[in-house]
Amino acid sequence: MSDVGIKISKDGEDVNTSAIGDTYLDSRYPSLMLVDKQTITFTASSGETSPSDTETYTHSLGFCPLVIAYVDYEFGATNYTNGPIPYNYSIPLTSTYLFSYISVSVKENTIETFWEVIEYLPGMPLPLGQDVDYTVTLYIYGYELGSEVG
Amino acid sequence: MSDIGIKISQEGQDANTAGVNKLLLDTTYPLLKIKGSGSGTLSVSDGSSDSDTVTHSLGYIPRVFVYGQTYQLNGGTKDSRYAMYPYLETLSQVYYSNFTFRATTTQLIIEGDFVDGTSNSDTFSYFYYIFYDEA
Repeated sequence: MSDVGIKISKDGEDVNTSAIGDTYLDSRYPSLMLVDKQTITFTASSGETSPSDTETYTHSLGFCPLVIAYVDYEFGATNYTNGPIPYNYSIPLTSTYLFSYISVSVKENTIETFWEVIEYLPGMPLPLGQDVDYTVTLYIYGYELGSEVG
Repeated sequence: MSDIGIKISQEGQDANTAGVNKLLLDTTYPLLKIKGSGSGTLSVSDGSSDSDTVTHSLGYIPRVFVYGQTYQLNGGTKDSRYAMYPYLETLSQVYYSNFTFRATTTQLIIEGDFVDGTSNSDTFSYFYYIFYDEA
């Protein structure tokens, strides 16, 4: 590792010898830089049975970035927020269940958000009884997936 | 974006032209800045929830990561491994397990709850990070 860069230690620690845990900034290690934040919205429409689709966002970075993603959605009076993606949960409705599967696939220039929504009784998919609106938030960091640190 | 800041490239890369994946630091982009972290436990029993409140007083909703133990309906036991919250499991219209959090402009509220008709109870550990960055 190069000795050229910036290092800032915690108050009271010797910056020349401080361990990484006692260091606020050490530019020898890549920092998580938020290069893009995007909101992806889609609707699973009432009357459809097991709808699914893929929403594509073009980031044009030319490499596969680190992406942390969450989903929020609302059904009736209940909000489901901060769901970590991949998201793979069922919630009970009045007499049925609502299953949501959401994943993101990170590629060199795009991020594909795949979603599938199923209202069901055990073993029996049903048409959706109402629209379900989803909001996926993508936090895109400059770190290239698969690259080595140090 | 401003041209004023600090840019440090990987060794062998030209900091003036390197792509963001070849940069170790570029202050034209926001960095995740930790405000604080902590841990705690939730004492949850069948049909009786528990919650903890952490005051952050930031005045806006911050980014938050919360990880913790959960209750598994399948088997009716605590999973001692740490999962990212929120965790939601549903077995029927009545039985569920829900370990979640809510961030407001002043607080982080971490909650645990399960209903499975077992009368089980347990203590669930969690830890969290609050960032200065907005959600």
